[in-house]
Amino acid sequence: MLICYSCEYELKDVYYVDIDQNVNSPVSQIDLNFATDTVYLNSPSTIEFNIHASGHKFNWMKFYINNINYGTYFSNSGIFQISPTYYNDYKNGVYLIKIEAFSNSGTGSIADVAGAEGFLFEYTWVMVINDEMNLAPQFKKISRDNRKLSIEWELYKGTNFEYYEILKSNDGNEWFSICKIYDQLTLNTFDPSYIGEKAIYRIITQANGVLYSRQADYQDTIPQLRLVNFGDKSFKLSWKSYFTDNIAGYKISVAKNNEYGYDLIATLPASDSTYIFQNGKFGTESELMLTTIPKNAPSYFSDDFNQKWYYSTKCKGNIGKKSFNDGIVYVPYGNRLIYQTNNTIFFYDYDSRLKTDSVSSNTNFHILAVSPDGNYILGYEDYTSFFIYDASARTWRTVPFTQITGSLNYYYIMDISNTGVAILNADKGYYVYDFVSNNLLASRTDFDYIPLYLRISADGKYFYNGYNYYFQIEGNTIKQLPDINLYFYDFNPCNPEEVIVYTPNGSIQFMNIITRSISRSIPISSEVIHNIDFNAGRILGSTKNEFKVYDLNTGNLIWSYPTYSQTNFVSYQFQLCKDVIYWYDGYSINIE
Amino acid sequence: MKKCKLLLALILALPVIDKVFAQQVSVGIGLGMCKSDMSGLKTINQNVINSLPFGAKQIENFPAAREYNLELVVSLVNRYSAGFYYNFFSTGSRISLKDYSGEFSFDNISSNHSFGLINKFSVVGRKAFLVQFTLALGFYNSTFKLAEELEVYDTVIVSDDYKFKSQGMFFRPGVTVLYSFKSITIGLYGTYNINTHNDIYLDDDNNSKLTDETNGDKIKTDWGGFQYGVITSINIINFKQK
Repeated sequence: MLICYSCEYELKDVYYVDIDQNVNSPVSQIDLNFATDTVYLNSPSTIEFNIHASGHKFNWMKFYINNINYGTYFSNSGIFQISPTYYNDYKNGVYLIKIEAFSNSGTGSIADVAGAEGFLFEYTWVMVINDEMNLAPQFKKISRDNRKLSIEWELYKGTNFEYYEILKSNDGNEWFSICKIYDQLTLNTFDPSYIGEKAIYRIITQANGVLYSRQADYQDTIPQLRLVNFGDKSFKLSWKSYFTDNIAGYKISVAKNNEYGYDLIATLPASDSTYIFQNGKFGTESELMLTTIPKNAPSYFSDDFNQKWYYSTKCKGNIGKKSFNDGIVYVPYGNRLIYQTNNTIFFYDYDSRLKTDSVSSNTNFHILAVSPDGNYILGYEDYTSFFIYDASARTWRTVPFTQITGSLNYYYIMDISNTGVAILNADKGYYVYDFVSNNLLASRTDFDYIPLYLRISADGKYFYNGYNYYFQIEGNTIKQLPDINLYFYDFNPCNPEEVIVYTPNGSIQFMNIITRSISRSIPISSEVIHNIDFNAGRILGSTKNEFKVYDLNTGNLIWSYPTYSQTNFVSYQFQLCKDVIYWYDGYSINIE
Repeated sequence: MKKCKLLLALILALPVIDKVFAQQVSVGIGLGMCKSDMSGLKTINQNVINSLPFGAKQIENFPAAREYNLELVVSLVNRYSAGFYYNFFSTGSRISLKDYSGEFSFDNISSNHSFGLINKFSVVGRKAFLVQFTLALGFYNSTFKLAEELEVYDTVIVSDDYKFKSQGMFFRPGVTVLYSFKSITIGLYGTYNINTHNDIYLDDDNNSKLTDETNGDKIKTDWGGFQYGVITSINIINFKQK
């Protein structure tokens, strides 16, 4: 047997392969079902991992929690189930997750193939478990960003992210989806529909089959309409947009005067930021509206009403040139007008358009009447006295209320003639007082109505109380004259015996107050007579929608201009002075 | 099997046919080369190579190897002699890979013991030269030592040894050319081995047979192949009858 064994065939050769064992270390990449260095869990979750290293094969992976190995996987991927405290698994707290992964070396050697040679990769994360934790990402920042609205939010820090969805609402009821983002690390977007309006944003995060939701309010500035007077008949409208990339254009509308709503007057491109609104109505407040049209309005804004509600700004203004701060303008016969600002009376020459004189008082006074020639200015001061200013003598006198009626009655309606005789009213009493001689000429307290207003003739002998009642002052008596069933304008400042009456859309008549004879009749098509400029020979009248200026001598229509008036009563708000109409608000407009 | 028995009986009857001859007893030894098919075991090797995750190579695959013959022959009649026959043959295979990190080998050393009767028929004789047809037949007993070893960085990962066995019958016809010088005869021989293809068992478990894992077929012994070599014999007894 020994001989046989010694004769057994002997195997001697080996197959040696010279392999380069110096290979470069591969770069590894691990795919996880979470994206942060710290993963937060509040419900049963799985940790999923998958590692790649430039095509290297992985021999094994080990999963550790707090350095205790909980799983070994003989592939390049694995999954581990974790449940927080509530589910009787892991207690609330902070844990260290570690994954070790051992790849082959890539040399192709026996050890490489046998899994005994390779590269060891180690990854660690912090895991926070709290079953009461809210994992919903909140908005971090909503802000302007280069003509757009940028929306940024926090990273979802849990596992199994599916998508973010950004929603928008303007009223909290209807919601509009701006975008859905399936990349967990994408944390910002732009709202292509936003132009500055009040909005509510909601971020929905879908993960682990659960929807997390947070929301935030945001309001920037939609294009704000600004208005300045441009000349005496136009407005210059301007606005600024902070989100021009999202704007398709603008609409300019003007409010209707006699009903709710707006009339569209212009549609403008997004590049515009100004607009000249021409020939606006004088004598009434104009309301203009700028509606911004977004490029991508939310679907629930499909109707025009909603767009106006959320995307419009309004602005009010008065057509005209601001000449005075405010106050009633008195235009006596002559070439100057009188108005009061604070405690100063100004005299304004409307030929030269300069203030020519002024008088101030340290009392609290108010002008209530100016004589037809402009010499006497009558009013009250400190609610206890009348004051009378003699413009030619430049004297300021006061007469206590008690001096006229023996009591501190409040006089609020009055008028004064060129002679200094005034008609005053207190309660239902009428008092004719001569402020030159400081003498109560006549009084009457048997009327059962308060006058609507009072006008006295230039000679101080007749007055009118606003109810078509005319009175004559004879000695110390006040005599009522027969009615005139025509609209009263005023006594003729050039002829004290004449009263100027008119019929709407008919004619103006110069009528003798005693004989009722008519010296002149001028046809007009106005409903209201505002003012007659005897110097310039012009009549200012108006219909509901138009100012009209007529030639006093011929009755020809000289000029007309849009307005809107709700009343056809004489209000003395508008005064024509040669070629300018003054409004009591201080605005003026040239009739040329 | 029946055919083998009939042949054996015929050979044993030959001495009776020729009554006049010079009886001799000689002992011969032979040394030669043997090449065997080993088809089943080669299949095993191929399967191993196919299953390896690395590029090992078949560096030896049952090459021709030395064989040893021993015979004790008695010339019973003129031109015919017969006697006992023993043959030992061993060959092997190796699948190998070695690199800086370790070594893998899958070795197979196959050995065969054949024993039985040999019959020699002298067909041509001129002076000292003699040409003989030979026919050996009998039983064989084979052993197969399979060893697999994987060593990585001086650590043996795999070290498995298995020993298999197989038995059966063989039949080996051949031709021998001899030259006699006094009582010594030397010559050349050539034979072809045929054997029964029997199952290969685990040495200590006859129920465990070597099989092809790819198809479940049993692996059989296959020593079939040519042999050639040198033989020398010496007459140890020389006596005459008649």
